[in-house]
Amino acid sequence: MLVIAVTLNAWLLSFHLLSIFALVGALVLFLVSFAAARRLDDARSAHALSRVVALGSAAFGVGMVGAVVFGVWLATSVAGYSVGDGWIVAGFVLWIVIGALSGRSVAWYWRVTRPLLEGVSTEVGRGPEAGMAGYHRPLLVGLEAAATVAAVVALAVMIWKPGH
Amino acid sequence: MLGATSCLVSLLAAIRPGIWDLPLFIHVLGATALVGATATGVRAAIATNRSQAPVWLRRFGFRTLLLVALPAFVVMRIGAEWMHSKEIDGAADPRWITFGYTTADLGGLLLVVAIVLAWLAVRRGRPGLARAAAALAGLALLGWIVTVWVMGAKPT
Repeated sequence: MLVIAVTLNAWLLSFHLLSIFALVGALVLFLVSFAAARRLDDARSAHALSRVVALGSAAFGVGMVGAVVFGVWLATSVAGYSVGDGWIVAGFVLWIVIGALSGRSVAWYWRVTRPLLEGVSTEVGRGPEAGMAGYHRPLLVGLEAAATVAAVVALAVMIWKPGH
Repeated sequence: MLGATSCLVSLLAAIRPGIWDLPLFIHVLGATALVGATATGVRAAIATNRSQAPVWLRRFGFRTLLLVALPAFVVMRIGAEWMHSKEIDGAADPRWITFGYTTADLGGLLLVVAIVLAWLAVRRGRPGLARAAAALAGLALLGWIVTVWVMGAKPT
């Protein structure tokens, strides 16, 4: 009979890792999607893309919550680690930065997309496509790129553990 | 003897010497990008079914798999090989490493076939090919997600 033995800390680490993959995976999805959105010129394509971005929104939420919950649990459970360690505090700060930057760009994306999905423009009398100008602003991709850079730095901090 | 070696490798994996940090960083960076890009490509291909812009979605999915997922796979694989080369000489790989190699390479093969199918789907406008690409890439993605769990939990 096959028996798989996994310790509590290993379970926590695996769920922490899966959450990080969901979070960073979502950032990649947003970055690729928002870069593609910059060249969109019709509402039907925007509608199609929104179905992809919706998956990223779900993964982002799960990843953000899971990364911090399992991360803190792991920090309190593993001997030699403490929630007050410099590299763990740095991880928290970067987690907040990622949430703020990506949350802002995703909120912006949905603010532009919702009227398109409903077939109405935010600019009265100019048709649904007129509302697509919001996709073409560099800040949408810029915020997401900044969030991705913060995530890369967070990965580096978690692996090198400076000061530990 | 094999058990002792396996224990030693597991112990080394747990304390993870500093020389593994850079290869591990490259490996994880590539792997996270790979999972995100493949999920994007798969979702785009699936979403073509009831979309009013299937051609645009097929092209978007194909480009994401080719230009993001494939390079990310190469980065992930380079990091894995670099890390593996720094392990103790002559020690047998623990099962979780063997599992990782198997799913990485099989998944890579599936990814390449999926990219070819996605390209054909774009060129010929065949929705069935896009669905096949989504199925293959989705299977690879599932294997990689299980592998992330295995890499973290390192079950014995």
